[in-house]
Amino acid sequence: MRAPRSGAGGPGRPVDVDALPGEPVLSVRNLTTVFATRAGEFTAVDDVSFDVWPGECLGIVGESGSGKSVAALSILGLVDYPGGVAAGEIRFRGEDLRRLRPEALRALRGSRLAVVFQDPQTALNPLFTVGRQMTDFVRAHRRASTREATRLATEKLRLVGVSAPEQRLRAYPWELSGGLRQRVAIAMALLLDPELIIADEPTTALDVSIQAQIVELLVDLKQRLGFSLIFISHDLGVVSAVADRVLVMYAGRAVERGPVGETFAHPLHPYTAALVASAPTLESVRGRPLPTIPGSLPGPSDRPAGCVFAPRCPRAQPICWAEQPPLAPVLPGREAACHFPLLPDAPATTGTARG
Amino acid sequence: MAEATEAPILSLQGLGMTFRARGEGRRAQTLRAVDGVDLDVGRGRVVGLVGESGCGKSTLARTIVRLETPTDGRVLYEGTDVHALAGRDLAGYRREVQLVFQDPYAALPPRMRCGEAIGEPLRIHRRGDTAGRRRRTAELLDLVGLPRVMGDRYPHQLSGGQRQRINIARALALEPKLLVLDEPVSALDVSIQGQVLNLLGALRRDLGLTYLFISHDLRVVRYLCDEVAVMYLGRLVEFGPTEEVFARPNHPYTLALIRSIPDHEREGLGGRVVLRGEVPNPIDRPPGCPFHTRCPMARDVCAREVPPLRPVGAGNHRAACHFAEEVSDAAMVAGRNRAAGLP
Amino acid sequence: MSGGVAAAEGPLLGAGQGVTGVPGGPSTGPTAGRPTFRGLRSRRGGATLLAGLVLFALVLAASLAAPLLTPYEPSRNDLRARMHGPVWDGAHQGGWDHPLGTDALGRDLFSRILYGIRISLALAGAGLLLSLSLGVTVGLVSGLFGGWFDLALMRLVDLQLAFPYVVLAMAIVTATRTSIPVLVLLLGLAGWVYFARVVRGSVLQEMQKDYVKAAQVFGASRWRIGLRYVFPNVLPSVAVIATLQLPALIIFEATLSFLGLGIQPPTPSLGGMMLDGVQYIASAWWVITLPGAAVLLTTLGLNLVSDGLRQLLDPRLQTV
Repeated sequence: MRAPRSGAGGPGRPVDVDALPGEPVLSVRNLTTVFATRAGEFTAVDDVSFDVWPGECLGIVGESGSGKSVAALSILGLVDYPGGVAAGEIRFRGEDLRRLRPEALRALRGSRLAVVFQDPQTALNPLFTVGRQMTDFVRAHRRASTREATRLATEKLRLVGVSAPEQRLRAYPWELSGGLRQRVAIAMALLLDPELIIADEPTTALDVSIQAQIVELLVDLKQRLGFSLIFISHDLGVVSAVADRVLVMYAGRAVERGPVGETFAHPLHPYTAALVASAPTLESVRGRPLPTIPGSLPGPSDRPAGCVFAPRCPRAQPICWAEQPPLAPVLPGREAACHFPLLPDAPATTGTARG
Repeated sequence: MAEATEAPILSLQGLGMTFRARGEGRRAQTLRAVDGVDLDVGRGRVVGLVGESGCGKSTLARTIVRLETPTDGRVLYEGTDVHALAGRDLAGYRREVQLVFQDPYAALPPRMRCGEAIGEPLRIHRRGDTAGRRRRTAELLDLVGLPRVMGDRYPHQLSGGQRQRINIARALALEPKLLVLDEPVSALDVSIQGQVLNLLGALRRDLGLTYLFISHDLRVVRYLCDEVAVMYLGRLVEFGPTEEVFARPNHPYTLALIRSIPDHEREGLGGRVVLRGEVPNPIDRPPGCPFHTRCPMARDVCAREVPPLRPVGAGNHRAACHFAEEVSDAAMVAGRNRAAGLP
Repeated sequence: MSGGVAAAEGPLLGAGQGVTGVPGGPSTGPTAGRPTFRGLRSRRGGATLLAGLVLFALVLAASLAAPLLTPYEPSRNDLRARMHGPVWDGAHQGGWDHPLGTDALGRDLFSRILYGIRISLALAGAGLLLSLSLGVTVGLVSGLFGGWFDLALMRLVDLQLAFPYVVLAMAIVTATRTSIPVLVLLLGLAGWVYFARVVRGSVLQEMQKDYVKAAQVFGASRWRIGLRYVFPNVLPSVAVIATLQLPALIIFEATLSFLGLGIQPPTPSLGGMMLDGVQYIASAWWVITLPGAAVLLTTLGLNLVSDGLRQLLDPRLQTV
């Protein structure tokens, strides 16, 4: 169960989806993104659907090759040649982004829909000062004098806890430390008060102590400013610190979705269970073999016809090989794409196998 | 402890590494990457070396395997200075100490089949004939749990975990005694990390290896290592048996590191302490204790005097803090509170 | 993954790619079918390479088979058939006797061009081999060992690149009188600097990689690292430069001959033939144009090969 937490409404504040006001900010239906490779077509994101509600943080977790980053790029319309969104609907405030003209989408990105990427080193142009980049960014989206734009930039830098913002505006990105650069990147994302921010592994390139600072900052900002957040990470610990709900992806498919605490505490899908169990924690018993997932991620050519996890799943039955399970409600507010989900009252098969 | 009486297999004595940094202006700047590190690695032990990027842990590893020559101090292997070795003795050292890199793909020659790469150390040290080397390569593949056909593949045809197994197999080819592992699982996915950690654990047990295990991930270090050394800005700030250090950290930096670990078993920020500020630039090292600029309990003396690494608590637990005893008290209180579900 | 902040839209942040649907096309509605991926970069490289190889192979085969294809000796005069135009130029007595016409001495241009290509290719090939072996060796040694040796060699390279080589070559030929060995030497010395530079650069780059560090840790010698580890990774760039250098050398040889410093008559050479044709440029266009076209065709084929190779071998252009 949930541990009591400090302060009112911690980051994992349970979000009652049914009681949420109005419409979802973002609604993704049957998103399928494919890439052309020499070996043929590779489906990086396979029929994935999810919603992001106002003020909520949806975490997307998965290992490399799970399609979590490609899903984010697909929403932003940034999937590069030789890839493309092949099917699905991406509704942002009711508007289908796939039907938008490129200019309209470009205007939307960065204003109402913002991004923070993994590497703050490459996200900023080394040739221009932070201030120049921030003001140009504002003025690319709306009419504003340099003065107004600078004022806005200063305000946002202050908001993300950058001390002496006027001074930082005159600095070049390479003069800043990694943590500071990521704060600047977040400030840029906030410039035009977005309704949704997509953060793709924003803490992965950072050191542990800085990682904690950025996580804390994002949680705090979300609470104060009320934007929605998609937080993509491979680190279950970080996701559980930020997200309200989590979507677990494996080999391009969504395998589980639910409130973050319950999902990690009592996973329904054997893959989630195995992922949770295989990460060493401060509570793991030293030296005892870690539970591992046998085998490896199926390649583009050997994806099974049925459940994508079947070849590595200790619970797989013949039906799992034959039939692809849909992501369907298993418990109230919780969904899993599994023919035999791990129900809480089931005997203690943890869904993990010894490697 | 029994190990205390036996001579360590590896001993760093006042190890220091200064790089000349070509900074702006005329002033020649120096970057002190490693600063007076004393560290013993006992035979058959797994010693973890943790710290954030830029703390000097990788430079330390590179001086041990002679990719860099230290500017101060010595690296003693079995009692002899590693950097004074030459000829036959050096070849012997090359056989007994190996390095495993963080990025398993970059560490393999891209145009060489994996089996050939594993056999390279054998060829260089003229071990056995062609047939013998082929046998040994197959044996090594078995040892790291890879099917033998993997020997015929190229690195780009393998997954990350398989590549790291190939790297480990190559490192083991000459039957080394000491493995320096520089972030060997950091580039791998969570589920693959577990497999490689299990392999490392089994190899150590079966082959009686000694590891110097470098990582920024305290969860992994706590899981695998017997002893932990914590580095900050080039200095060793705490050393001790793993259980001891994690249960009763005696340096505020160690405490902060442990408590900033995101852990899905500890939801949210409930039990977390976020360390303020960032690691200072090693070119402008603060005077006194290197950590005092970020330390929540720093006092006047910390800005003036460098605290020595001194014995604290049980075993050979040592910490470089003027107020080490207060840290462990604070840690105990925090631990109790956490157990009781208090903030 | 690299990326920009908050979408790469600011004028300083580079142009954003607003592609949602079919790559390269405008955004498509959800009803659009799966995107098709025609003309992948790698395949385009393959097509270029193939076209180049076919063209070059044709030219090479024709020149090698010259004795079989041509009814005339290349330097046989026929004063009765002087200045005949090519077969399609009836106004100048073109006919099937001499498909590409004849020159002022009544020599068959078709034969002369095929033999000329042969000589050009042989000279350029020999020069390429020389510059390749010299350049690769220098680059490898410079990169592996560094120090004063590297410094001296690289200054030499700079010097040669800064000095107009054709002028130098003219001076040497004038001083030593033209001979085949001198020509090969000149061609060889023309291109070695490019090999040396690129190989040295790649070696320095490779030396920083972990796999080289790993080899150092288990005790590989510098030579072994150079030859066994670094060299194979340098080969692709060597191949690309070689295919770039060969046509450059063909043109260089033609230039020397055109200046009268190359192959001496009556041996047919493309540059020499063009020199002969200069004085008849107004009355007999083909005498200068057709050998020029032969140079163009040969170098075009090689340039296509080089382009295709670069697209195939350059990892930055490689698709997933």
